Amino acid sequence: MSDEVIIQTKQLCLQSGQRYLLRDIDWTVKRGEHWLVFGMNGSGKTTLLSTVAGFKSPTSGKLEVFGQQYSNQNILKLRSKIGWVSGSFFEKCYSHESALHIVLSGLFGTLGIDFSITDGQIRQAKALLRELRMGDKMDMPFDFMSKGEQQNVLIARALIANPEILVLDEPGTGLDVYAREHMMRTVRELAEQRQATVIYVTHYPEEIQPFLSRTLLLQNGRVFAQGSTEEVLTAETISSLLHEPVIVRQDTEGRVRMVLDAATAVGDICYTGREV
Amino acid sequence: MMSNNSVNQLFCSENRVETLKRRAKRCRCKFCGGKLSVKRISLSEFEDARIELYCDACQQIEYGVEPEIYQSAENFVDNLEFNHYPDLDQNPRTRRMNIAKVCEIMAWGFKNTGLLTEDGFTAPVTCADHSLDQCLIITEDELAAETEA
Repeated sequence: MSDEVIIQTKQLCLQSGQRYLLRDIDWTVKRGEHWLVFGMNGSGKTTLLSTVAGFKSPTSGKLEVFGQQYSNQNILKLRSKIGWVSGSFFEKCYSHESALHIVLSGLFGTLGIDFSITDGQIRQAKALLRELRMGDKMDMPFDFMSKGEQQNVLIARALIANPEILVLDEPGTGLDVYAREHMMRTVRELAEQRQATVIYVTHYPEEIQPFLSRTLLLQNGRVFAQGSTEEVLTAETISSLLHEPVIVRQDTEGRVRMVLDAATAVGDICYTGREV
Repeated sequence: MMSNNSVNQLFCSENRVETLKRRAKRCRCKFCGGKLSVKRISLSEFEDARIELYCDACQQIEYGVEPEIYQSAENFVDNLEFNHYPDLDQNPRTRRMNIAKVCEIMAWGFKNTGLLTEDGFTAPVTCADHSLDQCLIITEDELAAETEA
């Protein structure tokens, strides 16, 4: 792991009207670190990551990516180094665009494509889609696809530019068992072999893989806790975050399990007492 | 993997928005043939990053093609019954998707033969009007005149 800081926020705030979606976020990510971002619905996870990925602008505070603040001169180049998978964001942008079109847009840091696309890039996009079992859906419009297929297209979009930072916002949502295992393996390989920095947002503890060694907990747009996953994902901290008693343990493969007696907190997490 | 040189060309070639504006004036949506507009899509405060070419009729991000390409593709699909999507129901939407597919193939061919750049065709293009394939209405007087001649 290097000491090079590739994401740094200081007192980062993002307001919508009078309401703070993010407030005073101080967060430093070094090259090669792999972060879990965990929090309840509405805690600011997607907003924080879309800001870091350059798709939203902070209202105040400092945001540096690869040592640079976003500007009109560098934003597309910086964005192309960040592979961003977020169904909740991209479903607002894409509707009838084809899978191939969407994957190719990842090369440019934009949502549309560019005249400069080469045959090699088209072959690369098709190979990625085939790898994600989307070979027969390359020309399909985004809105013809299931949620899982849309997620696979966004994963291919994120991977095509060999990103230095891979941001995955609930990537397992809508995927079937095979696709989710494949996605998790792909992410792990990227983290371990290509040395991409991974930032992984999930609601599902079973997706928390051992390589996610750092954790950021968010609550109501603020940092609730951050540090090594071992130190942060404790029964005490998670119970305090959820306002309910939680038991945290690891299975034999090192994946985190949480047991929650949520009979009184169904409205918060839609879960009642089984292992998650 | 792209070389550093091509990466720089990709991001530093020219103001992207100006390129998109020129394209919006000249090109057509490859699905419906309609006009394109330059539209703010995402919330970024930087113009280069939030603007895309958009087809209001199709309600989608669309880079567009030269009008001549669209016209030829439309004729190819309608008159020669090209169908790239045999598994889908045949309806106006699949017709548009077929035209778009032919547009992609034609644009690829023109680009690879050097006849098409980002600024349009590099040589004058004359499109056949395909009038022979269309219904021609001739009045009785016109028919009589033709016969006499």
